[in-house]
Amino acid sequence: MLLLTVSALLVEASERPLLVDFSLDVEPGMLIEVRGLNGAGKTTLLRYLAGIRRAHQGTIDYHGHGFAYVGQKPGLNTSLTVMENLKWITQNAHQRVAEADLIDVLADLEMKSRRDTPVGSLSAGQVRRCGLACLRVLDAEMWLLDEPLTSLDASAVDWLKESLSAHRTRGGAAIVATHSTLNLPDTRFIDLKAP
Amino acid sequence: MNAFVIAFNRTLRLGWRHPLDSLNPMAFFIIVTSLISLTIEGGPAASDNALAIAVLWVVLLLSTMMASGSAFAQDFEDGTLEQMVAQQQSLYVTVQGSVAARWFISSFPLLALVPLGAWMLNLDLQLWGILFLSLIAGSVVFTFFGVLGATLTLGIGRNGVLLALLVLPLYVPVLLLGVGACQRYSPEEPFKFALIGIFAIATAAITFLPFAIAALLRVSQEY
Repeated sequence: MLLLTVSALLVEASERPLLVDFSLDVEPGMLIEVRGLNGAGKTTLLRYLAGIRRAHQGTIDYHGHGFAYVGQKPGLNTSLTVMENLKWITQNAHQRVAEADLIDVLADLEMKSRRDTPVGSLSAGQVRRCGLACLRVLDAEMWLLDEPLTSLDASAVDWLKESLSAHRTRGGAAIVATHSTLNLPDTRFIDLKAP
Repeated sequence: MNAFVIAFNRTLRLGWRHPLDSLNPMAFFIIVTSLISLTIEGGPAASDNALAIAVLWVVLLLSTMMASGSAFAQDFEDGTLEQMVAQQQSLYVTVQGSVAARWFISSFPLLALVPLGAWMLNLDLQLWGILFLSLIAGSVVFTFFGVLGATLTLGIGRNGVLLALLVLPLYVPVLLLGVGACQRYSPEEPFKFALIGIFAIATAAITFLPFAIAALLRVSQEY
């Protein structure tokens, strides 16, 4: 059973083709790292996969429980508190998550004490941690991560790696666009070349 | 919880966190109305109904435009809009909820100031009802057009002048219709074509403009 099928996708940036006829099958447990120089199209590819950019050629089909996307922007409103943002993330994905579960995830990320702090008052690393919390909060089989290691300290990187391993064990899969490899076993790499 | 309620609650909460977004247009409304009433030759008593109606409509239009200019700007900057586009098949209901809350935050307080403005400009008491009724519909249309303009200029810093150029031509027919409905009011025939027309436009705006705004929000993420 596949979680994601991409067929003959045309990836464009400013009407310039970056990837032509890009196809990919993602099975449960897979971890795919997308590598490439700046401007090679890593972020653009992920934005296509997340449906943020519409595919004009080719198809993207999710067969599982949808996806969680963590982009380069945090996706958190700076005027709302950490907890308010997490609640909104679950509502936006049409999911119902108990407040106690949200607190557990924040505790794992050492952010429990900041749950009522506006996101605008947090450091860049803490904001990144909160953004990544949505991975654990949402019930999604596919994770799409764009440069997830940016601004993270060593303990948060360990948390992310553990979360990724646990997610794969449960039958989930992840596509990660990154400059620094996660060094996790059984990783498949996609190397993009700058056009 | 449905998408309308989620978007409404969120926008309302954000409005509560940024009270100046509502207070500034209110202050603008009071300042402009009181200055005009002070500068009318012969004092407020010399103000005629036609002038008072025109002033109140124009000031409400400008105040609403002021309040709508920042719609979705913060969501665009912090990536929240990206998450909405990624997770939601259709943003239609979300846009409706968000604009409804924006109307509640910015236009509702302005409408509450209309009696004060009408009093300052010495408007005949029998015209207060029609003015208020027409301004309710007008403010809905102005809010939707304002958000449409703000969405068109997402990502462009300091979008004030461009926004005005884009939305003012849309505002003018509604303004003329609304002012006409009040100025030609007669107690014998209170619901004339102009008033029905402005409510029809408001209904059309509530129904159709969210499609356009939702499409523009998606387009804003394409680049």
